[in-house]
Amino acid sequence: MPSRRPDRDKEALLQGTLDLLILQTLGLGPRHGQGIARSIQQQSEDVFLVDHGSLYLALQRLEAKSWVKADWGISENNRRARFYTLTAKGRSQLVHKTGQWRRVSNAIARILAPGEAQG
Amino acid sequence: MFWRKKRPWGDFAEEVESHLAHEADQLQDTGAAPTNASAGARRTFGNATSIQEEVYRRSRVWLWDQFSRDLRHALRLFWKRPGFSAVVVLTLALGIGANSAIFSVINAVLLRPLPYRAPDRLAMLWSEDSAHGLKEGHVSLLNFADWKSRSRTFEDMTVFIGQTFLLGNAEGPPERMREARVPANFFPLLGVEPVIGRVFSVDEERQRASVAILSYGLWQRRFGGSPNVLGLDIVKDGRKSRIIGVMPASFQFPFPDTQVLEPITTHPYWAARDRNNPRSASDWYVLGRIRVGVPWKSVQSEMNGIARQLQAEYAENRNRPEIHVVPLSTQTTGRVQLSLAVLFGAVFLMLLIACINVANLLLARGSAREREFSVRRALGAGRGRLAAQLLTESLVLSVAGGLLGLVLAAAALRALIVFAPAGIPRLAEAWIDPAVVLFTLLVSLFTAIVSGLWPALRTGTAVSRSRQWTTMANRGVRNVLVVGEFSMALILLASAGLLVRSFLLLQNVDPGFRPDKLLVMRIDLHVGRTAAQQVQYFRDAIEHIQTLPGVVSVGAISGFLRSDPEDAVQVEGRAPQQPGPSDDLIAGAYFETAGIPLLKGRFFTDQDREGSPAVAIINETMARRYWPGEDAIGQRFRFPGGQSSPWTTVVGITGDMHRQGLEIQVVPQVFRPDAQQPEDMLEVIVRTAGDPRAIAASVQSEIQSLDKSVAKFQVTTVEQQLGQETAERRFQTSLIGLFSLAALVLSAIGIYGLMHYFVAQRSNEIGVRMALGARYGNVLGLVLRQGLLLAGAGVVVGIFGALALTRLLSTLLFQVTPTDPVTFAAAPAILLGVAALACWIPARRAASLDPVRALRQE
Repeated sequence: MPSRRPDRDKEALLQGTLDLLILQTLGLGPRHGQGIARSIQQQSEDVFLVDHGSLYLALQRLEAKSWVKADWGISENNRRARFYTLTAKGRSQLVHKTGQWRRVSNAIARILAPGEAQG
Repeated sequence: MFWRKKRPWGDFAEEVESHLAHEADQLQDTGAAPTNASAGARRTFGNATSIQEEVYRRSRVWLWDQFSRDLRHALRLFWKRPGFSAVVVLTLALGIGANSAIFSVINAVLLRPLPYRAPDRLAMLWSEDSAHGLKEGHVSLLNFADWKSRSRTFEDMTVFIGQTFLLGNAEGPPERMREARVPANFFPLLGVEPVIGRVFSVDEERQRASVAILSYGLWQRRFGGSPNVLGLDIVKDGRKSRIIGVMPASFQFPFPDTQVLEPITTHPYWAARDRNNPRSASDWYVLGRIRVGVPWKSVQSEMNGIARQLQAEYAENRNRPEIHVVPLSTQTTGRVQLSLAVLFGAVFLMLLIACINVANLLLARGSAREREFSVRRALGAGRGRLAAQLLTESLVLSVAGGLLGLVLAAAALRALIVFAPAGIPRLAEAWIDPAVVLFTLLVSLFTAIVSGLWPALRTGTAVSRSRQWTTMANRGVRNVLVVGEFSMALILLASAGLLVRSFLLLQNVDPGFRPDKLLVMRIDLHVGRTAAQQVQYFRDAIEHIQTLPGVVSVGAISGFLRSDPEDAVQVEGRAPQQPGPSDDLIAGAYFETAGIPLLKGRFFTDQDREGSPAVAIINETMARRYWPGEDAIGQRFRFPGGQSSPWTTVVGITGDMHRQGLEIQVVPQVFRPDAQQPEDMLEVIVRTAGDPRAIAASVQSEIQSLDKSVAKFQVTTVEQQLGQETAERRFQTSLIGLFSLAALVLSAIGIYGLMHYFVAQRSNEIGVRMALGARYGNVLGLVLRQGLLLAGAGVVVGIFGALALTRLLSTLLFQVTPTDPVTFAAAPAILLGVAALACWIPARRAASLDPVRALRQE
């Protein structure tokens, strides 16, 4: 089944980082799918393009793991939307994953530019 | 994750819509026109349908979803081709049904545990009896007491004895039946309890109380299943016993036909247990319960030690060198284990043959469906997907076959139980229970995989290649399948052939007497007659029956078709030797009636009576074995032991008679006149002029009118009794015969189908050949040769397989070796003949092809 690929001039998300970004976004408060996508795009200053197929699959995955829960509600535009909220389990995962990510990215930074990365 | 509540498709669609609306709102905020905004939103989002599909797919148990789709497809195909489906389902139903039927017998007879507490720790114990050549001989009470006190591996041991009695309650006719006398510990040892009432206590056992426990069957039949039976009396041999309990229906122990259980202390032998030479008085059965956790091996080795001690301590035990411990389950079913295993092997082979036929059909249909598969492959179906779908199709066929097979098995089982000989223990309990259903399900799965796997794998590869190549490859596979089929059919046919030959040889054994037109009935005087009265009774009975119309002659013997050898015999002037010959008492014109020829000397006369010199007639085997090269007439012998018999003179020699069964060698035999050694139980035999059954009733009423107190016995013909002996063999032989016949038919269908296909595929080639001058005979030969080549290859493989496997049958065979050349010549001949017949029709069809039409098809 063919699925949409991201545009060339944008960066595809690294494998596994989308979950983290979603959790981080939801850490600020409940959001619907489109809001999550826009928020990630804006905060990354449009470097990341969120593939919507991947986004909804990721949300489904997180929901299955009970890291997020979803409820239908009314958005700021007065439209029906499915709002995702971080659960307690999701919050502890966020902390855990963030720490993990920091360690990994520091290590990679040190390898790529030995002189610069000091913290 | 399939326990998670599935998210409905519409719910996600709505979420996507909401997403697009929000996106459009945002675009509008940045100044886009409403129409452009929604198009832009869609563009940014990407392929919504594809995403929805992806989400849907991930949210389900994918395999199940796919399977259910395949299943629906398979069911549609199943109904669309009813003819094909019917043939396949019927073939499989026959194979699976036969397996399920035999399995339910095995389940009931061998697998289902006996209805006692922890039955796997129960064992029968036997004294080896070297005098009679018996491994499982009865036990003397004194030896039993020693076993029980010396052994440590047994939790408890009990002893019992069987007896027949005459039930003489007023309500209903007198009836002879079997009972068992058992100690009080018999019941807790087995762990059984009565359905109503109680069992007797140790005190009652000690006091020799007249109490009785009824079997469920007797309770239902004679007492209408009434709970008021407790406290009533039953009259056995004129003696009253108070009924204190009724055993459950499942309890058929120690003998399958046990109707009453009484304290062992009431048995006459119990009172005599201390009298002369008790260790040689081996009449008792011993049952033990092994301690938890003790392995069988240590039980046997402990008993070996005890046997050695007892031999050293008591000279009488020298004839009883070993003690055999036999698990109760083995004891109950050991005899039929091999027969059932052979039957199971036969039905399994038959199932494999059925599977091969179905695989062949599926392959043929696979070729016909090439176009369908090519299209589906082109549309992106993977090889695995196609194989999965084909397997699902064969699963649907197999499960349908299994269900129908279960119905067939239920019917077959009923027939099996009706026609089976009486000797198979617990057969009546056989039924289609959950275990059988589970077994059938597993067999159906097995069938689906065996019959569907090869076609499934083939389809995957073949489609990717050229059409011509596919046909060739398929034909190769189908050839292999037919060869396999014929080899299995040959194994079955050879096994059946060996058993049939054994059966025929057995029928041809000269029994040494004339069994036709012969009635036999046992008369048991049992109580309260003096020796003289007994002799007189039988003399009167014989005389009275003699006067009946249609009776040629009448005689009597202590046991017509059954006889136990004496412990020892002493020929005058020699030391006693063991074992002794069989010893029977006769009255009337026994030899004339049975049709046993006198070879030398004379028959008994009225002068051979009490007080006159003891005389005997012996059989040829005895004369040859005891007096080789001498004249046995006038020689004297006696039976030594506690009450040794007087010196007895041989006055006649008769021909040998197979008395112990046709399969057993004739043993030395002594006949003595009943007048000199009176018996209270004799079998009266009557030779009739016409059909013996026609006058059975008048013989019976004559005996009854002579003395009303005599138990009424069933009058049977000797042929019937002999028939019972061969019934088990006849039954087993006909079952295997039936299975191999089915295998033969299936193989014939298999090769017919293949050759039919062969002709259809090669009609072009055949047309060309004919156009170039090939004659009718050439074409006929071409097809026949091809078919017989395959059948022949299968037969050769099968001969090797049969040579390897028929050895397992050897104990079931009679006067035939497992590699019997007659069988091994006949079975291949039959199989090839059937193959030739099956190929004949397609060959004829090929030879009568119109070459012009065949070529036009191109």
